[in-house]
Amino acid sequence: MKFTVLQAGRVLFWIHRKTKEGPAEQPCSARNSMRLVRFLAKRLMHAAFVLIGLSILIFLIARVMPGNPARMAMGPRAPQWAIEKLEKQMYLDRPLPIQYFYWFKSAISGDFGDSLVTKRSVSEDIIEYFPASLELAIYAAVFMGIAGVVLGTVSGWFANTWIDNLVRVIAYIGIVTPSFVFAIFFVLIFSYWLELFPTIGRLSSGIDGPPVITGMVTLDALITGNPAAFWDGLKHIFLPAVSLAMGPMAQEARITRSSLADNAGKDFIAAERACGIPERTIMFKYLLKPSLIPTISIYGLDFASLMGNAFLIELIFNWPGLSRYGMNAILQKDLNAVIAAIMVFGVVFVIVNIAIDLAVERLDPRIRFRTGG
Amino acid sequence: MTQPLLAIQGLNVGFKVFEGEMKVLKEVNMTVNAGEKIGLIGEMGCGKTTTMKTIIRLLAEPAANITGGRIMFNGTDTLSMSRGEFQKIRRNSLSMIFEDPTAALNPVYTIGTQVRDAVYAAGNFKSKPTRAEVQARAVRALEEVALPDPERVLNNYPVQLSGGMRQRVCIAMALLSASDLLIADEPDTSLDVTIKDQVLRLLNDLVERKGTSIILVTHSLGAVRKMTDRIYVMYAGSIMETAPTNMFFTEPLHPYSRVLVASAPRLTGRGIGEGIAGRIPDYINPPAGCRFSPRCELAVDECIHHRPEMREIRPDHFVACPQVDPVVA
Repeated sequence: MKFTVLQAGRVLFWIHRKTKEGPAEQPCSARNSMRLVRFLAKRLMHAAFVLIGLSILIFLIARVMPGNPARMAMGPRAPQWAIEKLEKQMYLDRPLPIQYFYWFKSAISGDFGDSLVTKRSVSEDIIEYFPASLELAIYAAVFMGIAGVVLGTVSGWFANTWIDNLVRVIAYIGIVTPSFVFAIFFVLIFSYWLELFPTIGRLSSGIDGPPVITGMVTLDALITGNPAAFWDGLKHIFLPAVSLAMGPMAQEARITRSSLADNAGKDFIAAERACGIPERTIMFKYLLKPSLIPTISIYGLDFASLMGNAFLIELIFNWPGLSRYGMNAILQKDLNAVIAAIMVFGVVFVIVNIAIDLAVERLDPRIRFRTGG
Repeated sequence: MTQPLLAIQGLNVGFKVFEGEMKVLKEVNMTVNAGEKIGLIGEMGCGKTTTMKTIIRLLAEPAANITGGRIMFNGTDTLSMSRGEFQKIRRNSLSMIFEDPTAALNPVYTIGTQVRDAVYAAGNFKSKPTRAEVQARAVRALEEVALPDPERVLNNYPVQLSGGMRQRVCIAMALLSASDLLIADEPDTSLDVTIKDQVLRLLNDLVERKGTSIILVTHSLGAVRKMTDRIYVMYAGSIMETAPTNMFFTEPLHPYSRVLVASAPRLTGRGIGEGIAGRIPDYINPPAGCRFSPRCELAVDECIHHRPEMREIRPDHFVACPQVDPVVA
């Protein structure tokens, strides 16, 4: 495994060098795909450095925290010799760089050690909890994207009218209210009073869960063709996803609104109007696309942070997610689990950012043609 | 005389701002005949662009406020037209070129997308046109403005073109929907010296060939002198003087016009002109009389308290200044 990671790095570097000079006589599409490959290779290399940096930082923080991991693992009544033996096993008697080296060696083969709390391998825990977090984040992101863009667009089109003011008030409320407050309100209104949605968990007890394929209940239900479970899963995920997404949704709406209103005053919109291009085309095409670019950049950051910030929502809705797992690990000084959970969030963050940069690069030729990268 | 193509009569435009209302345009009168080439000169911030944007209804409402006057275009008052009716005029008869071609092209769409949409809007298609038809017209539009390799330019994004090429694209797009009148708002200002002349000459050739009227707003007196038939001088939102171009440059009569012409730097090297002391008046509390009076060397009491009337000093040469004596022809 270690070998393959190194090899992958070498391949990336080779691709990056090979794609440097695209011959001018090549057809446009070939040059475009070359650029894409080069871009990806470069970004993946950057990502590797970022993740290594993150791991060093988290590892050091975890090691300098007070408390002996071996002592905590064995419990207060364990004899001294047993603790010393475990310390040796965990390389805790070696200098920090050596410790990190051993950690890194097993981490790249997917072994993050054992959790003190669940007494299982941390990797197993993550495989169990991560899909639930991802599923929650995806639904939250879908809501955040659609609602944020629609609200922001309507607000921007009707800038400085009562519609705009209403949306802006909603957006402020969304931004200043913590997600758990939304969660409590929503549970109270929609679950308790209106009885539209279930309160906690991922599935009702009467429903047979689909077999675990991806670990995401609604997706598994779809794959196995189980509409009842899909519908039930959807109802369960609705409230947590919406309460989680309210804050960033308001952020998207505000950014979309302001960049729409800003672009609406630009000369190119005036020029298009002067050419007699229909107002509908201008609004939906020429005004919307340039205005969505900043929204998409922020969207990526928000999506990645949705996962990490979900612990209160996961707690309220009893959602078996990684964010709650990580929080518990921090509270109980379960260091291996803390490091692993943070690394997973780091990987998600890096991947989402590459995807968003790629999307923005596709949308904005100013970036595509100015950076030769 | 036949009816003029465009007649602006007593146009007043204000902008609501925090401090009150800026009364920018005051009693602007302007006439453009079919096929005529008009130059509009005056210093920065004196309402040239506002006038142009009012003609084509591109003012940023609701801040901008047309408080009086009429704009007759081909005999109908455009200010009382509905949006839909005016859209027809924008699609066929009237268009505008902007100062900065970089800002006037949508950065995230290819030139082709934008030109094809303009082709489609300009219409004159009997039935729904095929892609190829629209593309062919787009190519022809770019050929007209002497862009080399139009097919390639259509596939490019604005950032891939030079400033001069962008302005040519803007001209091509505007000309598609300007069969009667083209408003060119400082089309040369943001271009390199070497490109300026090329673009202006191109513009001149095109409007001459098509018989389109043009209003050329510019700071370049040389360009106005070469290109236009008639000149309007604007100061602080009012027309100060209008005359046929030759007559104007032989002898500008309004005190403002005289200093304006004298301020232009000359290549023959008599140094840099003196300029005019002072600056454009505050539009929220503009001078009651002549708006140039605070800076005018010839100003008397009458100028400060009474708005000067436009008087025909010479045949076809109008000046809004009581201090200018009629020239006996």
